[in-house]
Amino acid sequence: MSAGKIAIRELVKVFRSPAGGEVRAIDGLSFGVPEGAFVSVLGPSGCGKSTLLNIMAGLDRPTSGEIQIDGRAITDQDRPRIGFVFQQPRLLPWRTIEGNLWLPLERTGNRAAGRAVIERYVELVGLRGFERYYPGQISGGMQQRVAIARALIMEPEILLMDEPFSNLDEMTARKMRAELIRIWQKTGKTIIFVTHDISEAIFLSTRVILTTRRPARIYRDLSIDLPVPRRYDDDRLFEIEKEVMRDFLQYMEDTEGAPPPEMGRPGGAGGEVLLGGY
Amino acid sequence: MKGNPASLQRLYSAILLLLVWIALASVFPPHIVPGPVVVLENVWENVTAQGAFSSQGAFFHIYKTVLRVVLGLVFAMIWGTAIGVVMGVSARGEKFFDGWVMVGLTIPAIVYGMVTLMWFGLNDFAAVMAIGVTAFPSVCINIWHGVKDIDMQLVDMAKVFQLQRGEIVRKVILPQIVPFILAATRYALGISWKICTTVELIGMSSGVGFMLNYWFGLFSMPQVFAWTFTFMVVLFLIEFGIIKPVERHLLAWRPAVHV
Repeated sequence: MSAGKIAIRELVKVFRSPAGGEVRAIDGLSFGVPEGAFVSVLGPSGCGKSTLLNIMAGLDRPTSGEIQIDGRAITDQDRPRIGFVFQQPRLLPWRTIEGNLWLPLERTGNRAAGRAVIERYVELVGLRGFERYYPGQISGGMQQRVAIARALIMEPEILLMDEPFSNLDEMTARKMRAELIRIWQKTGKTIIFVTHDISEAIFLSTRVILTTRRPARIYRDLSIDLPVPRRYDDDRLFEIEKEVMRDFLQYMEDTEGAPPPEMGRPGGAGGEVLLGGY
Repeated sequence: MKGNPASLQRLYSAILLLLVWIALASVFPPHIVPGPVVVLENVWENVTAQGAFSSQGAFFHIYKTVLRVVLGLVFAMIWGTAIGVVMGVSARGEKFFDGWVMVGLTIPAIVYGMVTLMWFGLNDFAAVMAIGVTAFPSVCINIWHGVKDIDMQLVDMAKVFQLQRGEIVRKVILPQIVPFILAATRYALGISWKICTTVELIGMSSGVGFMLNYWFGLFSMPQVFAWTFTFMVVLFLIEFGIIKPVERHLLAWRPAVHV
């Protein structure tokens, strides 16, 4: 794999189920992401997409395999700066918009510089004038924009987004997607965007990685070589979407009732030893 | 909720209560239901009497009761919070302590009073212990639920943004428990004052409970009402002078509190 921004190698994640069995969420996932790419990871719900992001963000540890960013493996001691946008805004309700944006900055301690940065990002996500509002006083779309600003504000090396627009109505989501593209073009961040929405993935990304049902492997790796910003009524997008949709529905149909997510007792099913290290 | 209608509601309800009181007082004689005027006259007499500030005066008794209530409350808050946090964060802690809390809740407060008075003698320490132990379970339950209610999604968010453990506790966890601490304080204050008067009644020679018992012995209903009223005023001062302002300050972000 060429030296890119992110390299994911043979990533495996096995959870112990409450019943004492194992659930294999990710099964030997490998791919690389070049600097500045906008990669969507698209897969059926419950396929382990969020687990991938959690491992990248350091919330969870892989069972085996590794993730490198700029050639450095992510470890507990040495984590690169990562911006994360969750499905829900996850703002601190007792802090104003401004206060929430301070959260990742407080450790740096430089108040004057921090204030300038906050002003810039508030402007970037179009929330000027709302700095003193509490999250409960603004709409869901605006809250999610605050969350995006918070993810960008400490100049992360990569930006991870976990279905960030799935709780918004379609009109708001469209506006947000356009804004995200604008911000991406402006900042040149490397983005990993997890979604289950095929048209959203194709509309936004330079590359779409489709994963299989759980355990997640790569089903298809697809480059979208269309100029950005794109238009929703672009026929070429529509053609790609139709083709991917047909292919993926076929896959889902073919695999229906196939391997159950529960992999049996330790050492069963797969035959490999999956319980190492962790 | 806007500011005005809410305070109007409060005014209406106070007026209604007063009217009910007056109505009852006009039907029954003063030794059954003394009216507001009689009661206020008695309160006035008590607090303006010669030596009201002396060691047998009204203010001395009020001071004694407030002191016991506050110390007992502090005791209950410290232990209740400590055990409540342990129960909230650890399943083992929860299993270990929930029996204690349930037992604590079911034992009548007066038993604690009797036991501490017999153990420690008829002194302030015994009263404070009785109050502390009585108020402890309800503090504990509030904090326990508060800790269990902590939004772990916010904690995960803070971890992703690489906040240190201490920062997460201070900036993400503590603010979530504040409403529960306030609720616990308010609840424990009510309990503390009730058990305090009971302990004073059975074993103390000072305090509001002692005075209530004294006037009960003389069968003076107006004075029983007067002392109850006096301490209600004290509790209202604590509620509206301390707890409410603190709450308004700490929970300003919650729309429902903009009373």
